[in-house]
Amino acid sequence: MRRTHALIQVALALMEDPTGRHWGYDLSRRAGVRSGVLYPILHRMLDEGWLDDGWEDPAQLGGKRPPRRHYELTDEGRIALGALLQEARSDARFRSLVGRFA
Amino acid sequence: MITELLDAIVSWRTLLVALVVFGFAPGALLRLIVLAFRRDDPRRSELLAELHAVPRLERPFWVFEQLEVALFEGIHGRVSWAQAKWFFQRKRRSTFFLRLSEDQTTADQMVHVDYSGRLREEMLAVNALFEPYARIHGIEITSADGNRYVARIRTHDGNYRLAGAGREFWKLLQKLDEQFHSEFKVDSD
Repeated sequence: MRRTHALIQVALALMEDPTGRHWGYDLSRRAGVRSGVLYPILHRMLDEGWLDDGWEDPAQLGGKRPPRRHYELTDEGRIALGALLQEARSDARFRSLVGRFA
Repeated sequence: MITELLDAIVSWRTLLVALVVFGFAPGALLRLIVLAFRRDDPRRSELLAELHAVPRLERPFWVFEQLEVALFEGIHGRVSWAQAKWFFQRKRRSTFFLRLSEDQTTADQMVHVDYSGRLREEMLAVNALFEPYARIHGIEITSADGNRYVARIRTHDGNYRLAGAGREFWKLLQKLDEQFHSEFKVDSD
């Protein structure tokens, strides 16, 4: 996957909670990327097997809102993103970005 | 002066319409926007559900942002899916893709070839190709040898996500080409 600022930002947001569930809107806010950038990255991560996705159980939802889709890092994804962030730390283009969260 | 006044009215009307559409009916507008995605694209439901997580004041801007997403991603997905279907239609005379059910562990249990060289209809599960998480085997009839056909099977046991955009289909085809190739004889009836 091509390394871009957006990818690093999304990776950082995902790795803030590597075992938790992540939601689209929340993730775009935490990563600081627009949804037009976020969703293609999430799709590529799903293709790579770095993420699993799922839907909320409608039976457990209160109110009338529809079930939301969530994303979780797989073991492979945690390893891949960990390595990606490690490499980004030594890359001058991303050092400042990763350094802030290190 | 009248022209300026008219222009002002038109622009105010436009502004008002924009406010009404984006501000008071973002859900309705979003329902129209997501139609750009293919019917089985999970982004349709995902974006509609995600709207409820967006604070009310941000919703008009968020919905406007989705317009950009849908125009680029949704329409691109439709185009690449059409390309993939066209590719399949063009290739199907020589190559057949079918799905094996979970209990059928080896491809040769499935392969029966008639003398026309076509797989039997019940096995040509073209529609199954478009189901999510299908297990895909590509079978190519390469030649006939007496009463037997020689087939090349390109197998990948991974579960592919096929419900998304056509791009994934292209990836699948590329991966099938990269997978191991095993030639074997296929008994015909």
